Amino acid sequence: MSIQVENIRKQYGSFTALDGVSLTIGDGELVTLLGPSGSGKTTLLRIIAGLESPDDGSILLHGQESTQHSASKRGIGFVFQHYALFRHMTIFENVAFGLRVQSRQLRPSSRVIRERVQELLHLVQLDSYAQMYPEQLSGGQRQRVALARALAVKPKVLLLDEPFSALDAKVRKELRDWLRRIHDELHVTTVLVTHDQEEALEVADRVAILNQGRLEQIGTPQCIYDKPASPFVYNFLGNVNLFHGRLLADLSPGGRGNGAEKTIHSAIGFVRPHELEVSRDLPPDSKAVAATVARIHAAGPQIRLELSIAGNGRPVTAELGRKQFEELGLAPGDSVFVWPQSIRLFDDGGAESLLLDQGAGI
Amino acid sequence: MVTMPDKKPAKSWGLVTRSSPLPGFRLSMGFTLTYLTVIVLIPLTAILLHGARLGFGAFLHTVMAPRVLASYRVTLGSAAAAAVLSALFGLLLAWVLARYDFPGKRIVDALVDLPFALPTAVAGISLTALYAENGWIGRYLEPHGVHVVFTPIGIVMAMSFVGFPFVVRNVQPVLEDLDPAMEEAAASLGANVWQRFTRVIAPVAFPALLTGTALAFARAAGEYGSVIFIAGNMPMKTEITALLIVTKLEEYDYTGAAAIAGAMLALSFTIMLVVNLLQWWVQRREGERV
Amino acid sequence: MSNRGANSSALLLPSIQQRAGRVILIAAALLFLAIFLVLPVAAVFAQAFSQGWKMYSDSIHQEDVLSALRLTGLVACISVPLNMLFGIAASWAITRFEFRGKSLLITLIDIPLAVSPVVAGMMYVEVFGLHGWLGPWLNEHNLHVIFAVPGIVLATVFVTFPFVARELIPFMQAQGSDEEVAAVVLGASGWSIFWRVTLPNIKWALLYGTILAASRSIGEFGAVSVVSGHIRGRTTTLPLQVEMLYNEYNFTAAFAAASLLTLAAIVTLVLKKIIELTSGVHQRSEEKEVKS
Repeated sequence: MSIQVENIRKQYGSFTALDGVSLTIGDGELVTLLGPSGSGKTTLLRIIAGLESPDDGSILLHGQESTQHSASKRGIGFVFQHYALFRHMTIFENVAFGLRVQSRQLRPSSRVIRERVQELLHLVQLDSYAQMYPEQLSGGQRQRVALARALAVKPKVLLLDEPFSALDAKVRKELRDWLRRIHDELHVTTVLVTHDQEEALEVADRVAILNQGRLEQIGTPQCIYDKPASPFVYNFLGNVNLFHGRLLADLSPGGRGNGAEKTIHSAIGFVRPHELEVSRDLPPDSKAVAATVARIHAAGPQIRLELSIAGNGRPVTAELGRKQFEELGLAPGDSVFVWPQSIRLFDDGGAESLLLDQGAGI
Repeated sequence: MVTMPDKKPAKSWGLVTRSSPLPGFRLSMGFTLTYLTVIVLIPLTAILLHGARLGFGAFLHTVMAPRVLASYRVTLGSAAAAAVLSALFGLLLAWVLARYDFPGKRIVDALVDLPFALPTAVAGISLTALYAENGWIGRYLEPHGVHVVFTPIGIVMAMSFVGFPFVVRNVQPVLEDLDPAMEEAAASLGANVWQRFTRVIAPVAFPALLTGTALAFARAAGEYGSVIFIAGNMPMKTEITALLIVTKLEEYDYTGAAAIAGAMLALSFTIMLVVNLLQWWVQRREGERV
Repeated sequence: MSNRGANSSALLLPSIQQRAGRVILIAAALLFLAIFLVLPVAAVFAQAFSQGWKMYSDSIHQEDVLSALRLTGLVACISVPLNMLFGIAASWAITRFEFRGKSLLITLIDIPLAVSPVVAGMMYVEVFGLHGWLGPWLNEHNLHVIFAVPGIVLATVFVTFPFVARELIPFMQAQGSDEEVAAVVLGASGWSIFWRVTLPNIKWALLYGTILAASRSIGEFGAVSVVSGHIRGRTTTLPLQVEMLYNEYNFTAAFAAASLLTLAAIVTLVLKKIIELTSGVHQRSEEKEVKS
């Protein structure tokens, strides 16, 4: 089932949680809503679920206007951050709940319920835990029960609100891979809210990045990583070098620099570490700058260099393949030259619009 | 897409400030408000209006009559003394229950609530029997010239009996929640036992002690059942205000009773306000600490 | 050893003086309790049995005492369920919704705890008494509230209605509404949520508040005294019966009746403690530690 979010606004007192957000999620897609706390991502998810009502705008489920439908009638599955398992019921009864509360005409027989619950407990690999209570399970197991409970009613949409944030790093990673596998098996339209960039990029078909109640960018993980649409997205995803500078418009005839350049913008440039070239010699016809190797992190498939550049306050990070690093034979204190293969420049004057997507000129 | 403004007309009488996915607001709120109106608000208004019908001069005349004034003196004086006693013994019990382990502690802890559970009339006749001339305690006090029954001392005893659990139940949780690391830190900085108590524990427990004492005072000032048996109820000497209201009612002086009841209500609401302010103060302090 | 590690750290290892201080404080507290709480209870039973078992038994089998007992039971059976309903409704509204005037509502619920019981009883005389607002109309239709059972029920409802709500509100606040919201998403109806999710979770706190309300409704004296009219055998609850017997200098009978009320109070305390120890309601931190 597809989800259309149209121009949703939500205000809490003087705080604007959502400021006109629109996006479309296709049938069977897994989309993550990514953003810092207060960005409105959870509010948006709860509005899709019908747990909050928007001040303005509408939600269309499968093309049908559903803004006024109550949460219990939307046919969605919701997984809560803190599981929200029924503490007085066994795991079996938790999963069976959604089936048991259906109206008499729709309610399956108790045999069917039992089979369905067992099937789901098998899916989440908790077959032998049916008669236990939530407090006897670990956090990761509880969240799997919560997922089974949400899936029991065969929802057309599955919504997950920071489902793994209360778990430790290792369990989080396992559950993330496992969620992706389940999604590939069931193909239920899924929206997952998270503030963890790695999680968002790894698990999703598409990522929507929210900031201060607005949609900053939506796209495939690769698109988001390679072509961030704004300085915010760059900063939020991290792992990037930042340069402040001035953009010089080339006003000379023919476009070849001859001194008639003029400052028109202050600008911020972003370069990912793997996009920085490092060399011991100054390459010809290049705008490389001199730098000193400050530290070397050599654990892992990629070697990370911290380089200090005269005039640039913060050290710059570059990533090299092992082979190249060995060829260069670098040690801390060595002098090198660095230049970007590509750079993305943004206006620093508040507009933050993309100015340039390629080239050099720091 | 067309959006309709004001899509949920009066679903919650415009009271709700944040929408909730849960049902039942109108049912539960409607029942609550109806119940409160019938049981509390209408009768309360009735008594206040009756007092007001009297006119200000006559009202003052009634509530400032010598016998009424004497009853205030007895009631408030005894309640204040009882509040102080409650604070002292309540603090002692709260401290012992929160800090020490000893055999039978759970029984002691349960016993503290006895004055809440024991009907006041039973407490009244029982205390009177104990402190009477031939009572278990009275027989040892009377030879020394200490008269409890039918004197203000008896009133204070009865009021302390019903009041001190308020102090224990307010202070005890605060002492239990006190982080031992705070005291350890004070000790590591060289503070002795007395300094640790006055500088670390007392400031944290003080608002709770004050709240508990105010509640004990309120309960004592309005107390009726446990006091009337031991007080002797001599006008001008040991007659409490609550009893005076009953006396006026028995004399069919409804207006006089309503006026005095109005004065007592004013006192009750003042104490409620003080307690609420105290709790607000505590919460603000907690907020600052966090 | 002292609990909560306060004295278990090396820094605070108790010196001899401190240990002596502790013994003195505990002894003082126990002595106070013995004189102030245990003796009055013991005195009730001593007085009740002072003329022997036969006299005691006769005293509580008097027709007046039995009918007072029945009336007390009747009043409790009406007022307690009403206050349970109110407590559940009020705490559902207060803990599950954000609305204007919430703190005012919470304060209103506390009113009976601040008002003198005598004033409470008088309020109903002002509304339903012969000289009250509805008195003349009630009299015309031959309906009796004041000096009759309905007045006693009303007065009892008033003094006991905060108890259930005051237990449930902090408890439900602490529990949060996550489970109920989850039930909504799973398609449960309002009543279904209440019976299957809310009630099982709050049952102990509800029971706790109910016990407090029941105990108070059995023992209420001041408010009931004002509205009852003390009509022997008809509008006399057990505490009023105690007073009447006492004022007639029938001390043994008064204390015999009082002993029944004292037993009820002791049962209340025991039940409360059992709930605290088994369910986590009002559990002291140390008991939680023991349990976990």
